[in-house]
Amino acid sequence: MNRRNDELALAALVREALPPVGETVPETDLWPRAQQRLAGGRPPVSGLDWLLAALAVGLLFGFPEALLLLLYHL
Amino acid sequence: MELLERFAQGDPEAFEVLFREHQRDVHSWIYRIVRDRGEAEDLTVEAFMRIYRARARFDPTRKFGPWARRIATNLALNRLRSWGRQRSLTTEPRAVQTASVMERWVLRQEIACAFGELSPRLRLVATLALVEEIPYGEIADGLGLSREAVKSRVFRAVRQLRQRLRSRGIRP
Repeated sequence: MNRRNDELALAALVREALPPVGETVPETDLWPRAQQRLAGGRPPVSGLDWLLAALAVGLLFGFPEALLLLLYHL
Repeated sequence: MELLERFAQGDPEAFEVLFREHQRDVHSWIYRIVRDRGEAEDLTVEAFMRIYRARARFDPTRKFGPWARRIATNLALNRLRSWGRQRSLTTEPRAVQTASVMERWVLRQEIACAFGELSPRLRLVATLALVEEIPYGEIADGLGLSREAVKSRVFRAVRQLRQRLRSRGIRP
């Protein structure tokens, strides 16, 4: 009984320091995020991204020394 | 075919139904452990990804909720471990306060710090039992432990917490 009373007294102190959060709901429906993860998890790559990647590769073929500059900026 | 059987066989529609039915419960369970809304949402999605990947191991004759909670618990516990003891559990004092209010706030800080120094395993059980006041039986289901094991961990957490508070000059 004493053990239980000790526990209750300490629990009251702890609850004062760390108020219970209780039952909560997510702020948004999480299903779309889960669905995206199931579908592969990555957003589609835009055309601009592909264009920039092609330009970077082309630049490296034309000016291999630019690799160091590119790595610096990464 | 029953919903749980369809889920175990990998039916995505059955998974969506289960997700929508249980996301609140899983989120709430995780939030009570990690006490951070953003983290709880991320971990809820991650928990359901693990649930989906583990579907073949799910026994459709058992209840889905406790199984989902156990997977969520492991994730939340890993997050507590990764945070270590650095993360503050308390809030800042509001504006200018009177001396007694500040004393009270300092006391709460000390208790929260001592609580944060418990090992993640004990902190998890103590948070659910002492802070959230969830019945031992429900905690046992969510952690995949016996009721006695939960009681024992709560007892150890209380004993350690008391020792830590005494070492800080607080006699609860």
